[in-house]
Amino acid sequence: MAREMAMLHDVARCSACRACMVACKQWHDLPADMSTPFNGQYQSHADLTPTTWNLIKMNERTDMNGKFHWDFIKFQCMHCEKPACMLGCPEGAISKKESGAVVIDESKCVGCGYCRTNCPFNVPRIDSERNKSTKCDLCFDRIEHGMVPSCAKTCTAEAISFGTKAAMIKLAEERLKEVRMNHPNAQLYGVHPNGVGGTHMMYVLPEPPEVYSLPKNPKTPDSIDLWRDYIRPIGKIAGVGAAAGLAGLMVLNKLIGNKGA
Amino acid sequence: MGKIKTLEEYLAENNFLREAAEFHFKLEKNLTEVEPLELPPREKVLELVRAEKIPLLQQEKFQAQVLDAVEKFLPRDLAESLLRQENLSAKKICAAHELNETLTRKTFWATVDKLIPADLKLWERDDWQENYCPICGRRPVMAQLKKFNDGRERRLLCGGCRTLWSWRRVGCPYCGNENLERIHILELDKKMRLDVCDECRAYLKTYTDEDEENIYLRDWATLHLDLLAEEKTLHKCGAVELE
Amino acid sequence: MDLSRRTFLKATGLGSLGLALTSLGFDVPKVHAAAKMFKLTGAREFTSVCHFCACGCGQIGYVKDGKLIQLEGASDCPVNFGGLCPKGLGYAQIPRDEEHRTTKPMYRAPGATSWQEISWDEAIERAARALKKARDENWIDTEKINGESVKVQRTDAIGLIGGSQVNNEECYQLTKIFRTLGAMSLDNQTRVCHANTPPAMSAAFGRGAMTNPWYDLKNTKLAWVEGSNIAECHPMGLKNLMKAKKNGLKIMHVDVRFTRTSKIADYFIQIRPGTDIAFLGAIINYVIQNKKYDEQYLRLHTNAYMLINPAFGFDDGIFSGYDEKKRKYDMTSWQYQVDANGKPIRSADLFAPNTVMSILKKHYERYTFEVVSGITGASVADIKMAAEIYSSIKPAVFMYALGMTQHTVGVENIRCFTVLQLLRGNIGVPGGGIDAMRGQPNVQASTDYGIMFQYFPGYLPWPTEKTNTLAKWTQNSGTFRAKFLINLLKAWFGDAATKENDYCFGLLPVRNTTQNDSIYVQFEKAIEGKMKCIYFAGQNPMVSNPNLGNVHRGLRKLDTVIVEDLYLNETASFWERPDSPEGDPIDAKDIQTEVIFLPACSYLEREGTMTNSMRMIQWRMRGPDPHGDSKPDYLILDMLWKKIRELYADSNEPKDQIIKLLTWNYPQEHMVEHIMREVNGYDLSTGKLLNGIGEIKDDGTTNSGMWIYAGVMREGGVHMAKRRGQEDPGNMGIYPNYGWVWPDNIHLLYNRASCDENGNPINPDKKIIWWNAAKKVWEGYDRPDVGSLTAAPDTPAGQKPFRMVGEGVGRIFAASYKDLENGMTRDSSSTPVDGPIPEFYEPVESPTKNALHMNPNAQFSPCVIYPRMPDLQKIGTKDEFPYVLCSSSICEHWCSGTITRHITWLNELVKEPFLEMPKKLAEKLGVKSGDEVIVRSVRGQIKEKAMVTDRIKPLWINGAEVFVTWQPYNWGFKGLSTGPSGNYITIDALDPNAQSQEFKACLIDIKKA
Repeated sequence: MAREMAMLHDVARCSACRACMVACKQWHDLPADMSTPFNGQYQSHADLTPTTWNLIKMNERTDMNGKFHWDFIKFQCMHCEKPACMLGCPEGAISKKESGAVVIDESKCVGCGYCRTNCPFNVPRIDSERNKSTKCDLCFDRIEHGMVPSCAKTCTAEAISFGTKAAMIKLAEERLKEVRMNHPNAQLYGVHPNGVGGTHMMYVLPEPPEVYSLPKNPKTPDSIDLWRDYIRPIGKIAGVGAAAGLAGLMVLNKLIGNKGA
Repeated sequence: MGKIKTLEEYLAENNFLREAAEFHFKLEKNLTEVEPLELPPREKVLELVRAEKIPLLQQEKFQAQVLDAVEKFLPRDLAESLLRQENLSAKKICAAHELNETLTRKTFWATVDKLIPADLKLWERDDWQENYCPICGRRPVMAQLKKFNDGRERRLLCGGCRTLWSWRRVGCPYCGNENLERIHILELDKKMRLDVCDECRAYLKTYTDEDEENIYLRDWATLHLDLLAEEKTLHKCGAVELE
Repeated sequence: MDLSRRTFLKATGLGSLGLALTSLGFDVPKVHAAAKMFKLTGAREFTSVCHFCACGCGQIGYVKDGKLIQLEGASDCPVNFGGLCPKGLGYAQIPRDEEHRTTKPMYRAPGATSWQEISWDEAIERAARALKKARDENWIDTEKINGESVKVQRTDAIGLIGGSQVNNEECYQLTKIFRTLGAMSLDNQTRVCHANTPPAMSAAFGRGAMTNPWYDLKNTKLAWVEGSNIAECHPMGLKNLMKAKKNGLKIMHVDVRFTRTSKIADYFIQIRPGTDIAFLGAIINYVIQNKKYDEQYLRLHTNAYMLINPAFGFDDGIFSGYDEKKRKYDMTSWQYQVDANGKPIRSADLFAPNTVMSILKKHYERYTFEVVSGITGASVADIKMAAEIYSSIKPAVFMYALGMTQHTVGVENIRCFTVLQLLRGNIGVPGGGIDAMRGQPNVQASTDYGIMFQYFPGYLPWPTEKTNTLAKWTQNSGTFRAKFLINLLKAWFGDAATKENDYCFGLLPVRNTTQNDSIYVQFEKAIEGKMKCIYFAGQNPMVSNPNLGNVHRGLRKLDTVIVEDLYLNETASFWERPDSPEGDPIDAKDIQTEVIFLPACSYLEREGTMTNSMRMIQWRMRGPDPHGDSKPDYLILDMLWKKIRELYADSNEPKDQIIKLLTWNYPQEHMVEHIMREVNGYDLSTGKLLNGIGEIKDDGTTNSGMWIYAGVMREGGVHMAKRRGQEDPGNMGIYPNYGWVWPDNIHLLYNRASCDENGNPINPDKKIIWWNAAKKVWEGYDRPDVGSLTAAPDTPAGQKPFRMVGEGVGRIFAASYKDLENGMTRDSSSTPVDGPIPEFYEPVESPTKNALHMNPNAQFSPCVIYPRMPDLQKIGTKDEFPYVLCSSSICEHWCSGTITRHITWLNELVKEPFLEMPKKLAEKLGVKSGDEVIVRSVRGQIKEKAMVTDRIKPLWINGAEVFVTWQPYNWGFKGLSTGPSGNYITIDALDPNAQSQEFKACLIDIKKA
């Protein structure tokens, strides 16, 4: 299992049937989350939630030539090569597996929210009741048993592929050629090293990333090392006991968050 | 999800298997110098085997290759009767040479296992769909259920050359009974179960998970299940010790 | 050495492992002792078939202690190879849903405001007595029809609604029970779904079902999806398409709005709801004008060259033979010119005067791109592109669903597909065909088994006042079909059915063709006080029927409602509905209908067979035990009939004789297999099961409950539907050893048409069957669709690719034709009542005038009779209702939502119903996405939220701007997710052939709430 894996979302193929959302919830035993009321939109949740780790975003768009598009994209943790969440976690609760999956160890997580602040994709969600950070874990436990992540297994439109990173990159490049025939602006996302080192969640995008609300140039913030090595220890020492320390961390986090905004 | 167990950890938990383990490790150790045979590439082997559904080692040319290879330690007639599963003949010859039959069988098949290159031991659903091994023709000794789309497909394991091939999800591979109402399951835990055919009273030991094949696809590692089954007067098929 | 493959497989291995290991020196007793620490517990695997759409995906379940532990896809089922869509996976929650399933019989007394629990005995007794009362007090012995007195032996006071949610054996029981009670008002989900498919397909090809198997899609190059949202509603169909995309498949999507299917298609064209005939007519015109038809195919396999009666005509929207008062056609002028033997005359010249082709050419000349653009709203460029694509890619398959069937012109919609595919030679070939994608798990069977007012099981027409003797019936339908009817009667009445008494034909109730007995009319008759008792077997019309106001008005006038279902759904609970969108409020206390609820168990909890959209019969094993006190439907029906029979045991009245004579010999154990054997049929002289349709005889020495399934059961306890063979000979996507396909295991219908006149495949790369000249037999990867396997290609029998129509060839023009043999009708071809070729008509509620006709009688179809009840069925006009509404289903919910609205993960994805509207219309109304709007038609009004979208563009129709809107219909007041039922607004105007309703187009007004 010492192989680097990756998931590829072939956006042109996705039919937004959302079987992958149901499969994710089934595998992880996540309850239904009705927090986003229906306001005349198909997209079921405005964003990821502590119990919704995989979201199909659906957006209607008319381009410059007057042609109509309905853009779907599968959104979840990008499993960065250089994960900002991991680098910024004061408790060392986040680790990167050999497969590339970036996983939060809940037993160590204190819910401070640094991971969310640092993430260039705004992925982790804090479950305020349990004080834990949550996000897609690439079904790392399934991978380690030689299985395929739940979402990939169930896709009805053959839009989600999963395999070794090398195989997925090859597939992505083949599909890019095909998609370019109808979408000249098509590009790969996450395949090549970028500001986060490349990601293990990759996309064949028919259009530029902004169309899908993906950051064009995601970056692992440089200032993380400052936090980890300087601010965080201060936060820890400053508190008396775990609770105080935690409160201190949260205050710092808010400050930093505002600064980064 | 539990973490993956190593064989050592498993044996530590199941001490009574120690003896069987030692035997098999010793056997393997003695065979480390056996090199795989020079056989045609996989595509060609597929073609040869599918033409008339005759397993590779039951075809004259390739059978001869095996017999040549083991000539050094087994009389040719004995090797031949073992390979062709002519049990009475094998029994007689063993007796004539005063050889322990079970040990002879185990040694012979462990050698055959080494003689077959790894890439010929894994056959997909579209390659082969019979209830006998495409390489040596033996009946399967156990099975595995492996994730496939939103279900699981069933793979049969040859006890001799340890080839794995895909077979029907439903039914007894020994007598062909397809009626699930005449098949019942004896479940040990989340990893192992016995699929018992009420028609022929054979059972198929089945590993229902993945990634601990190193433990659970060794027939001897669940020896205790076979003894429990024997108590229920169920038949074990495909065992190298017996056929 | 001659090694056959079996010689090395002779290991007997009956030795003892223990002994063998002892000989190795192992301490076996030690292992034995340790083994005793391990416990082996009993469990079971079972196979079943998913219960949502009619893809028929195989499933495997795991049961311990009678409870379901796991449900997964069956990796060896060729439909899905282990894959399941989220609905299929979600069903696993249902048997464990203790809280919401009602598993005890319940009773609602007249005027009561709550349910009471009762025993099974009481429930069955009440149900039987209610049916008996309705029958005895409303018996019609003779009736005056068209001035003549006819013995009809019927009751119009009993109705049956349902069937597609129950297994094949249960459908057969239902038909037997209710026909024997004398009821004519039998209907099932097909009426609101695919009822228009069989008349259309039968008219052209002779059989009314999906022609090609699901997995044949891998062979196609163009998938034309029209009137379907396959990505949402038939996900396994989509999966097969996406696989074929890797081989260069192109997908064309034609629909009223841009859906998730449009998104993955290669081309999308928006057309106004109800204008498919105009659109496809333009393509027919293009194919003919540009000579894109397959001349060889036309000559060999169709009636293109045949000559039609010169009296045939068409003028301003009306075909020749029209009776304005009756709104019916006399089809005499739609006949062929025939020779001395009564066979159609062929011309040598395709376009000679009066040939089918020349009529076709003239008819569709009016369908220019410009005119059709005005009607449909699609641009001229798009229509032209569609025509060019269709004409240049082969093989091509049409895939459709309710977007094509749910119209007053539904049959003619589908007839357009049949015309086009015959022109292009795409029928009977791999990768071609017409895929009618049925929506209910077992609706193919509920249709096959005749839970429809006009049919016996096996599509044999029910006797009418014109065919009320066996002789008259045979003269009308042919000796070919009379044979099957005789066998059915032998199965139903056993020894009492003899040649002398016409096999008890005279006992049967007779249908009055001047009245409509469909599901909608059951409620209309209830309103009038004629219908007294309706039995609902797994159908929920209180959500899924159009014009729900009438459904409620009808239900509350009934004496008795009997519901056999898993849940207390909207129909069972109609008396306690919280609001009245049709404007007719009524209190539960004032509703005197008694309701008897019979708790049925889920499909996982019982055994039986069911038939998917491609006619494949698959076996379902029982998995977990039935929940609570719920029972398998076949046991419920068995108890019900036995009680009814008991209540009539002492009667000597002639009308009750039929009840005593009906055979009902099904032992409790393996009941469903006994039932299926009766369906299969026996050779009565030997007592052996029939092996196929060919063994059915016309002399009373065989019987068969339903001829099309003959061959599914074999001697020796063999049940063909249980087979799981994996072979795909020829790699064409035919799995002949998996399950059983009717008829006679022919997977790809009309496959004879893939060969030329010598029996050689026209396309050798994609051959599927062929004539083996050496062995003198037809053979192939599929069972050849020929009448006799040994009839050579140069004999008449070997030249009939469409042997189920009188002519034996594909009917582009559905002429009125009876094939004669020795002066008797051998077989008759069926003709749609509204025309031998399709013609465009507007929907009943339309925003515009018909651009093709000036005649006010031909604005909408001249054969549609609407309103049927003028006070309760008004027609909305565009002055008051300026916008068009189309309704259908949505990916995450299914049909009336009884099941899916109990699954939390699905409710999370789609929480409530809504109205999709174009941005421009929203601006005009001052509505933003999420605002509540009042949606009103002449039938009722509901309030729901608006979804403002660009996926429906405003259309220019005949010079004016028209706004089309859309809503999902799956909601009601029961379940975890509740919401207004869209069908309070939709219209119950019906197609004159099969009485399917026009869900897809009506007029509404919208106001911000």
